[in-house]
Amino acid sequence: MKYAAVLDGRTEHMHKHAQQLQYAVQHRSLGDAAATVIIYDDQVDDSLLAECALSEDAVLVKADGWMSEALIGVLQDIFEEFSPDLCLFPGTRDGNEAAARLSVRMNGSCLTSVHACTCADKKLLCRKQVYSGYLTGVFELRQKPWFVTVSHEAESQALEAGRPRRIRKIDVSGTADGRIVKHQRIREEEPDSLESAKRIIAAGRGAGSKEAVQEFADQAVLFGAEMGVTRCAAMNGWAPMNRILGASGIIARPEVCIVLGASGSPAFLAGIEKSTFIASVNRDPSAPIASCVDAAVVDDCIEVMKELTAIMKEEKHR
Amino acid sequence: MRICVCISPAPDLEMLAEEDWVIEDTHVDVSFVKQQLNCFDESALETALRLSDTLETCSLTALTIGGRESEMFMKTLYALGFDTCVRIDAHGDIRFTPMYKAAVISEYVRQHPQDAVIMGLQGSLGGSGLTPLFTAELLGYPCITAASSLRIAGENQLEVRNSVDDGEAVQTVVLPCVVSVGNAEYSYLRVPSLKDRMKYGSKLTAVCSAEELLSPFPEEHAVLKSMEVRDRKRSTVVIHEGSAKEKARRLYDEFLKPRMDGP
Repeated sequence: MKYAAVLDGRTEHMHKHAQQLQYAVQHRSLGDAAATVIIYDDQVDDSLLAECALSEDAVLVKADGWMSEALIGVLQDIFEEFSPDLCLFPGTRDGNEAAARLSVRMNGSCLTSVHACTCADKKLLCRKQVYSGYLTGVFELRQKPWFVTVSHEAESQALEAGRPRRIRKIDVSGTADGRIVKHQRIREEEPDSLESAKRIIAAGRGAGSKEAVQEFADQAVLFGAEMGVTRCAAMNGWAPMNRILGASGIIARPEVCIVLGASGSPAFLAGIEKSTFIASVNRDPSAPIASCVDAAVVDDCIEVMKELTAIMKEEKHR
Repeated sequence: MRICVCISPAPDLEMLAEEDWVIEDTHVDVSFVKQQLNCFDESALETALRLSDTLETCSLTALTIGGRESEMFMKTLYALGFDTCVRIDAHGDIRFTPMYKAAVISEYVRQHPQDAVIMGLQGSLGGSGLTPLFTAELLGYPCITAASSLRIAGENQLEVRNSVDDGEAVQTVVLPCVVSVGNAEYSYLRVPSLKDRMKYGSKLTAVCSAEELLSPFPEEHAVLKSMEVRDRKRSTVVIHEGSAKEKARRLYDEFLKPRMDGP
């Protein structure tokens, strides 16, 4: 079985995506990489290319900042040339769009946010979360080519790739789209601060107010922690949307995570479950969060956080 | 401007207790749980209403595919100013069928042309986010995903702000288009007045069968084979005795202090 991997050098996460794609296929001994396509918008770093390319053939596609018609057309041409059984993309907005659109155009199958793939009897089986993260589903992809995007929650594997032997460049940047007439990308100032934080304090609906979440954010500084929130807290306007932890937000891997006033929906837990240590503070001892953490304090989260902050101040002055 | 918002009411899964998660074959019985609109559907509806607020003339259609249970939401939408509410009656298991839903929606849009087809980013059960993308592809429209706000940018153009991998994008798209709404600027659906509820509450949802609209149905190429409950449990130490101060002290001494060394 042959697969092609598409990576996006326009994001800062290409290396991580390459590791996740490698895990999704090689960890399960799925087959050989026929081609690696790397999309870039300015210059492609040679050392990064050597590290991320999963195959001997690499195609570098210079493109504008979105999934333009020209870019989708080029990807289709490349897939038709290499005829992979499986086309793998990172689970980014652009990755999902390209996979979905190409699966329709090439009459294949598509599944997004996959954690791992296995191939048996020429069938591709993929695992992904369903029912808002309460369940894991196994899907069979029946029609080749299979278009799969790998979840940003997926495990990763150290890259083994060497410098690709054959590199080809295609430039589709500046091609008029006709449908998207203007496009401006605004990069976040600190996109990785929560994702790469060593410590996180996460607030949920039980915090009760914007003021309480702001107080937690102030206290988090003393803990050397970043502030995150549940989707519900963000929807209430208590914190910006880019602070959401969870399946549809940021997947964090801190050493310490303290969860304040969150019930523990699976969608939220997906964002913190990779933490080394998790503590929760919640009044309700039967809340689902209580069984998914290492230490569960049953009490009011504002009161306990106030006391914890006082202890931290004491310790710092010793 | 003609706007069609597609919604997909689903069971409120947070109401299920641990013991309710019993899988039989590829099914879980959630028939006893109340239906709700997920956060992305609510955001899509509110974003469409806010766009229509800025327009002198606008026709708003709400469309859903499924059984009668989804009609309760349509009464609210009529009271909020939607002109047409349509339910495409579908039988059988349509949980993981993005291609089927996209084919039905695109056929409806072909028969009832729209300038913007707006949906939530993803559904509660499948969570694939494929329906808007498939719909756009079947219609030959551009698709902007994870939008946070929309505004008219000129004749026949829409300015969409959306989240991308490492930030945000602002793009101007030529209509007609499909937009999926993610982390919206206004994420809660407004509440209709009692007067409007009384006035429009008896207005009937238009119903048509999926078979009338589309035949034959497209084949779904990704098929659910099995499901299992995800176990996220850890060996938890519960701290429930003493005052808040005592509990905080125990949490710090036993668990946090050894892990808080360094910056």
